[in-house]
Amino acid sequence: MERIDEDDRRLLREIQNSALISAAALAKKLGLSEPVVRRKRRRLERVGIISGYHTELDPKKLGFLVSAILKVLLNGEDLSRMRRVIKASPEILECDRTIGNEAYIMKVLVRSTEELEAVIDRLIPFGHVSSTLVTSSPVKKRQPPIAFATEKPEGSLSE
Amino acid sequence: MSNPGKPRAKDSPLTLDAIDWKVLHDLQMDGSLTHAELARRYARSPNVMTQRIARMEKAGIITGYHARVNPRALGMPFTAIIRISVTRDRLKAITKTLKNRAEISEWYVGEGEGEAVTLIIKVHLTFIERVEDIVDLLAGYGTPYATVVLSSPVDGREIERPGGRGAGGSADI
Repeated sequence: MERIDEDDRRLLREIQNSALISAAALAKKLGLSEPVVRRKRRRLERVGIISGYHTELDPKKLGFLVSAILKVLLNGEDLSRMRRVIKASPEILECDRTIGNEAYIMKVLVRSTEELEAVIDRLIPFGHVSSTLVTSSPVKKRQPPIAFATEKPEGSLSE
Repeated sequence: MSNPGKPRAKDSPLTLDAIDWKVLHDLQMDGSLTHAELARRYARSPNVMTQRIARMEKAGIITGYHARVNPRALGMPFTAIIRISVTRDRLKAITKTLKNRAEISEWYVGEGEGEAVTLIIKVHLTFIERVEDIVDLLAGYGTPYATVVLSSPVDGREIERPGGRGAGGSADI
């Protein structure tokens, strides 16, 4: 694991919020010189701590009005076939395989409940599908917790 | 650029054409693409490309540009998903309790039975044991269920144009 210092962490937080911030503005915010900011940012990119940049969209503005969390409890069907179906489904934005009960948990984004039904129907052959409609996300999706990166196994978390 | 951080609700809906959707696709894959590069890809002048993007920012379709951070490279190789069913009136208190927990990356409130709502959160951890910190915080509100993620066959897929990338014609939104 790459070592990062407090300035790296502050820098990461800033560019997670807004990747387009200039080196000059960043230097001013962090109280560092521009060359230092540039060097730090390049290093974080090089070692893979910054794995890329992405653009965030508002799904509702694009007509995707329904978001749901689906859970599939496998019934022993062909796993690789299900993974192929999942990967070929653009409506499934995230899919995690979890421990216990062989469950797959997915985040789905669609335009209508009819489209949601179609996704569920695609998964039904593989197991028991349960779904929850997402009504809100009180905390906007954010990036991994930089503050915790250098934590030790023992020792308690501060509130 | 215009201010993409503040989408305005009253904006009239935009009609996106095939190029707009391609640009949205490219920018989701790589938010550091310059307008000049996008202009070159789609044979438009840089000014026209900048206008297209500014229009989508103004309409609140593009809401921001962010660095993507790899939790593994930062020493957080574990991901857990925690679910709890609570009554709606307790949601505010829970939000307050958990809001500043940095290990939480995603947070959803789903519909539940009657007065209940289902809270689903995703956390990134340095050690699996750390999941207890969140579970303990939630235990006062109900019965939290935690599970550890083994793998993520799909992670952060981009939003695609309905009907597939190859679909022709304009998409009304």
